Amino acid sequence: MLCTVGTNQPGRCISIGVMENKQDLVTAARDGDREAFESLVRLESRDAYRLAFSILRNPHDAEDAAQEAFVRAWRELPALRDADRWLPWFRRVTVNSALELNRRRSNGHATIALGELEPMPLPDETGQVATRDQVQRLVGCLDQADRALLVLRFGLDLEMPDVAAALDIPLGTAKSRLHRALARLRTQLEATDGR
Amino acid sequence: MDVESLLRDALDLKRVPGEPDLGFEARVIRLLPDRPRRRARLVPAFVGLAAVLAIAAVAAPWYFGGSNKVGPAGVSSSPSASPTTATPTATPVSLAHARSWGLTFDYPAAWRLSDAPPIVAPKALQSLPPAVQGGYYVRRVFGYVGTATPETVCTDPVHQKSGAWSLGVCSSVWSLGPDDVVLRFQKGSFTGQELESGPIGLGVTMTTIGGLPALFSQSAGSAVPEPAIGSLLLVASPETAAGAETILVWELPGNLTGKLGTYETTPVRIIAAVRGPNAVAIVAQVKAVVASIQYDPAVIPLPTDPTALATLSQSTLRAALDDNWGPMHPGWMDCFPRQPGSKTTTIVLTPDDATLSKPLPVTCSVAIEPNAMEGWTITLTVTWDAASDRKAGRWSSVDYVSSGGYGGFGGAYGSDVFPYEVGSGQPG
Repeated sequence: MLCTVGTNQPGRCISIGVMENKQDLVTAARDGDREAFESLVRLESRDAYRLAFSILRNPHDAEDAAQEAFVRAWRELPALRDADRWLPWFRRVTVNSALELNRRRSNGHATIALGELEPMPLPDETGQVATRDQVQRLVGCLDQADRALLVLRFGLDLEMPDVAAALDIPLGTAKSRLHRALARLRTQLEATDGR
Repeated sequence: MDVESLLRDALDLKRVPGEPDLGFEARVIRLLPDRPRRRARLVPAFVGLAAVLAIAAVAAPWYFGGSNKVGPAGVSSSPSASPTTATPTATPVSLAHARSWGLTFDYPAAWRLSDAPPIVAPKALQSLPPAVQGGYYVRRVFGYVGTATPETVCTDPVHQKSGAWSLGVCSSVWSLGPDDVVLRFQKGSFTGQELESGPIGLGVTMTTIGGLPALFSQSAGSAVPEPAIGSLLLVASPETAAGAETILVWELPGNLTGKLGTYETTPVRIIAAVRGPNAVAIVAQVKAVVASIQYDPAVIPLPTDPTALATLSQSTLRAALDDNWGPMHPGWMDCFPRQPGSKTTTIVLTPDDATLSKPLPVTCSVAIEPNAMEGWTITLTVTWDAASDRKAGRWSSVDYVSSGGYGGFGGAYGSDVFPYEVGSGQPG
């Protein structure tokens, strides 16, 4: 037995064995090993935050959503049969936490007005800043479910079956929503280009 | 127009600004509800080749050619590791990640990490709370990392006839076998201010660990060096690490960003004792362990933007004078302007809150500048002119503070005694 993760508390050395990879951590956490899950929290917190931020566009809400996602994941982890599926499963938990948080805070108004969006700082020297900013703003105008779909598909580069699984919707529904969202964005981009 | 490419570019999660705040993970962990443990599982010692790509941010030292106890074959994923390529003949070393004693670091998973054991006080003290019992001992060791763990022994505190207690002293009993290595983490001796301003002894070099300056020395033999009082020269102490052939010592300053009164702001000293025959490779691993050290919480670099730096210096100065030092030195801090510069005024108190027998006209000055500890150096100066009943004089204090204005106030070495101070010996 080895100490894999230390602690600031004197006299308490964590001995949970060598967690050779994330799958081992997931398996141990699923079996109730709290310290293994704490390691997962440390491993995944940044990505969870970024995913939540991409959907919510607000740092405080993103932290709340990521926090809720971890607590929910800890509670529901025993239901995850295949530890290999941790990542898509946890992403789905994070996306759902973000969408639910927004529903609660917006009293059912699931869209964010353009003016509420904070411009994202985008250090970039390639001349693409304006286009990127424009795309981000247009994505920000979509409803949160469509935004989540685009983030999963293009931000995380997930295949459509995984996107559908993460959103807990049928694959056909995911595909048709993606098609509609892309068409809408294309039209808006062409319109602004032509101005 | 390729909307999908534009979306991939715009929605890349790497472009998401910021990250969760420093306390986020701890907050999440506190919120986790209790859940029953289902069953113990044996974790396989080694996994497939894919995990090789996840190890070794500092690649070379983590690969070890031999098959001794220091470098077992095997791989692991380390939270802070990044992909690298192994040499065809090298064997990757499993890494474990530690978060202990105000630091985080990676170390070979075959090594053990252990906190210093709790003290077992003599019967006469056992009715006292553990924290109070600890006050009867001189104890500097936080814990150990390595292939061996020294035993910790403490002498008992002794109740003197006078009624006072002589303190018990805890020390390590080192015993290194072939290819053993032990890193002892203990309370350090030098703050960042002392590291920056003190002399550096022969054989001691300045280095950077976790974003802050640190000292390093390496010596042959088993004598564990001890820093001399009042300087940064390392001298031999009575302590020896039995069996060691090489001793390495690092002195890390306290992290100004940390929470006062905890490990986070305490200076740390790391003593590594190494024994061969593979001492060269082991020393490389020890250095890699130390190179992976980050402070916990992480050091927050000062902003590089001059405007942001100026703004931060203003808020830091105000916080130090008003919120940190002001309540402890009421009246005295009123002497100083809240912006860099000077003001003339009259004082009736010294910094030690001693009363002057008559008001003293003075000029009080403030300067603040960034320092190498990613914090600030605040210089407070008070000068007074000569008069018929006093000499001209100067009082000055140089203090290191964090960007929140936290840090000690006091060092006024070489300052003149205030005139009119009761009991100062000066005419007044």
